[in-house]
Amino acid sequence: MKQNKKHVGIYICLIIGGILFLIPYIYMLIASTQNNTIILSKTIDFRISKYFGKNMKYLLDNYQYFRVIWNSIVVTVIGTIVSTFVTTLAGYTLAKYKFVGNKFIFSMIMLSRMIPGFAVLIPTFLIFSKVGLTNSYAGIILPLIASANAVFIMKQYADSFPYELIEAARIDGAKEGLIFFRIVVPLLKPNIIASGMLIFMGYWNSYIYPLVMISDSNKFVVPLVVRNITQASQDDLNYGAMMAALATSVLPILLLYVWVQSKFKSTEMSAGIK
Amino acid sequence: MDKSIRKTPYLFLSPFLLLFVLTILIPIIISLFFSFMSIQGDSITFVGLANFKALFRDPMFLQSYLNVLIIMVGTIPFIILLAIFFAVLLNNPTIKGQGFFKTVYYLPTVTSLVAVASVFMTFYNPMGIINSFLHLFGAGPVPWLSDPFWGRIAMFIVIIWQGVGYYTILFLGGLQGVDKEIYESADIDGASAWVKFFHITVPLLKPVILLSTVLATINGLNTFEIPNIMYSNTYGPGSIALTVGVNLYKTSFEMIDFGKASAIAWSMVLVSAILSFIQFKVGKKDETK
Amino acid sequence: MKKKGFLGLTIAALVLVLGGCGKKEASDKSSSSNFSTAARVKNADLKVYAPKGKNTDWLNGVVDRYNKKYDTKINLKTTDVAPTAITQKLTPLLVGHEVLPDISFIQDSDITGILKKFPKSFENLTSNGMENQIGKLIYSTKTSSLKATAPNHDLFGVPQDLGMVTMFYRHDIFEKAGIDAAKIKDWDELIAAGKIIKRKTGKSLLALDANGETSLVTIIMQQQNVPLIDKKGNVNMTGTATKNAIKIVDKLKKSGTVSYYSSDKDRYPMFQDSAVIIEGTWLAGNMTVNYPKQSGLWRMRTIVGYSADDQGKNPVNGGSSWYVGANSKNKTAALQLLKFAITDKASQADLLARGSAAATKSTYDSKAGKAEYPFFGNQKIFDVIKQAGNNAIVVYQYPYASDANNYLKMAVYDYWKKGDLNAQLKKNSEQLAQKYNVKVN
Repeated sequence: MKQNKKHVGIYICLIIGGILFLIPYIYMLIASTQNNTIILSKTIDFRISKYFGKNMKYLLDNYQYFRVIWNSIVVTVIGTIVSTFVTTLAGYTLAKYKFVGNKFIFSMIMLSRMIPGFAVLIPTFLIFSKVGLTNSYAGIILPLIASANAVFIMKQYADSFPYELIEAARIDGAKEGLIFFRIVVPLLKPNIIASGMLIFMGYWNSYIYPLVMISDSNKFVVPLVVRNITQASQDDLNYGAMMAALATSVLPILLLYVWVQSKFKSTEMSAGIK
Repeated sequence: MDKSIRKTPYLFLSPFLLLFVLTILIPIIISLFFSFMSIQGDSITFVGLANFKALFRDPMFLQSYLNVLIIMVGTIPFIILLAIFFAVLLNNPTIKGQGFFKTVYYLPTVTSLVAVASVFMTFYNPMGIINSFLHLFGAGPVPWLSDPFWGRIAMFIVIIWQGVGYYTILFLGGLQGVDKEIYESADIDGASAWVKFFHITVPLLKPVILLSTVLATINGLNTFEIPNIMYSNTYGPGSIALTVGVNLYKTSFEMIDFGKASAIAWSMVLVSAILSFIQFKVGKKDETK
Repeated sequence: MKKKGFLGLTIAALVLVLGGCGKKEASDKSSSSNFSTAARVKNADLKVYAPKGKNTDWLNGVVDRYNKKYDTKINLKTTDVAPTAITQKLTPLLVGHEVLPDISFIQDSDITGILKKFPKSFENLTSNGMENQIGKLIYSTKTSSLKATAPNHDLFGVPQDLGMVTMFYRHDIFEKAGIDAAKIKDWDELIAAGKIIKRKTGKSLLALDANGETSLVTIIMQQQNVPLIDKKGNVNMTGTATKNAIKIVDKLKKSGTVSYYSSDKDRYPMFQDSAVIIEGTWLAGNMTVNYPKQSGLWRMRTIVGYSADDQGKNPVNGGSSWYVGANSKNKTAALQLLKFAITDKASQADLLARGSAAATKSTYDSKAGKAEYPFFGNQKIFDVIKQAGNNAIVVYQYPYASDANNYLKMAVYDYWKKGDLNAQLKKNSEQLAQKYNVKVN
């Protein structure tokens, strides 16, 4: 009885928390169907309105929205695959091989985690500009591949990987590459996906590198368009269109994230970020 | 076989290391190099510590650190307390829908800061839903984006909203590592929930609290997107949106002064290093106790 | 062995980066002088950085006329860049010696900083001979203001608008209040009118910046012939002109007739809801496009006098020009197009028709200059602009102009919150002086 009452209290707290965390997302969805007159009215209007089409048209007319979404997809997919592979391999190597420089390299990576991204922004831009990588997908993909965070997460996961399995495979005469692809990757799959999802979201949301690297509007990614709606052009801020951009770029990706997350139940984010 | 295994780790690490060196290590060295240079268009001249000296005379620079400090003080305690609160609630194994709540709480962490700032900017509009809501109770309108005090509160709310989920999961991880028997024996002793919380949970979470504080502090130091979007690329009322990151961005790309901007970047590196060092030292002290 | 190869790569990368620092741009092959002799370019896709809206619409119209006249195939590829974001957008290109857009639309307050750091970034219209051909057509306040702070006092930009400040007012609201807006002489009379308007119609007279009004302050300073930044680059912030201007804004505030906006994006919606807007003439075109429902309600007049016995100078605000990237791919085509744009009568007339105040003198005397503008109740608004242009102050654009505005804003804001005007002006102007190593008057 007492236990039940306590649970009611916990549920109420959790649900209030949940609502507070969800409201902005729900609002994105609703407001994407409204226009400025409704959004900026004196009353709270949470009803679906009829302006979604008009808002999308504004995005298509002014910002080549489909092209922008496509750019974001290309950058995110390529970046995620390459970065996940590279960091998984690095994390596994640092966890499971003894070699000269292991400790040194690992501490360099750890040290680099506390360097603010801003410190490397300008020189990275200059280097990329020299080799002609600005205004290209590569200009946004490359700077985020060597994610120290992802290596750290993967090393943590790989640390707990049973060494005996690797030894046994070696005795059977398996090559090192084969061990990685045939034994390590399948067993660490949920962890790789967890780390990969974080990398994925990192690419999808990346803002400062595209902001600096991309000047050609054909190569814009979603966050740049959102920024431009809030700041560019001489029109008044079209809140409805901004919400339409958010509803169509943030929500589907979050749903994908949640779906992947639930599909690989064993994935425990906390183990990685500890 | 031995020989090939000896080479393997280098081979496996090489793609990562190559990019690490190219996109992190070399840029950071160049950035240090720049911080001692005056860069006017194409001419680069060595000026020693002049950039750093100029920074300390620049009121905007000092203001930017003050702003960031205020943001940290105004957000980190709430983030940590709320995160512990939710983590303790979620740590109850008899609660249904734990996974659902965890996912929902974690969503802001993986949502673009640009998106978060844009939505809240809409909420904070003088005619936005927050003021409409307050209007229902006859309160307001609150000048969320035009008053330095409320403007800071507005930023705090966004940062707290965005940050709590991540640390909740972090604390949950910490709590799940705690031996259940300790609580059981406390139950037998008839300890109240509060006693259990303050005498068992908090001390056990101490390392996680320390780590979270340092992570949140470094995050706070890097604050850029939220003020930059919410205040449309301006300094905001009473310059509250002038964070170190905003200052660095504007110094580089509006005033086109990369020397000074690099000096700002390195001031951030130094502050982060000091913070991490403190964490390391305090962490060590705790272990030896 | 792998390790060695890796080390080699690293060193190669370092050399590449550090060695490349002083590299000169490679694409700047053609010297700037061949503009006047070059044959007409027949085919080109011109890359344009400009805020999408009436200026880009106008430029598209120019291209159509140009292509028809010369039988060319010029296309525009426009990237939407906010006026305030143009420096941020160009800086990476300038620093990286990347190819600049063929045409950039840059505010007069921003160009000085860019040209100071990168004097060869944009085509010099004086040395390539274009100024000789177009200079006489343009209002001299405009060219002298642009040249005063440019490298070697040369002309670099093709001015798009005159940047005069005028007063827009809602005819219907004034009529309801029984006031003839055209007869208002000075700020005191305007404030008195504002009180009647507030009482009779509930509308606000003006909208002020809640974060510290600077637009009106600098405008009233200019009426006293004191620009925020003087010819030598010193900042006028602590003088009597500034204080007089702030006192007038104080009167406005105290009269209870003003409303407040808090962000730039809310500025114009708030303006449109007031009885009076004091802003650059460029707003005429924007309000026509953005607020079609208010058609016929607005009128224009020159700004009310500084005081009853001193009309004062006409203030200048904003103003932007077109610039051609010196290393851009199609710069000859771009220059040819811009020359056409400013010399072609139909194009300049079209500029007026879109509510922009052209920078060319003769346009105002042409038929287009006498046009009646339906949005403004068929008023001949260009008479107002011409009148303003003849009495205009010359302003000077220094790279810290916008930051000087920020500091003025902070000073006004601090004064509003804490009082003690002298101390706030002194404190903020000293900070500005220290930051940019300039004098404060």
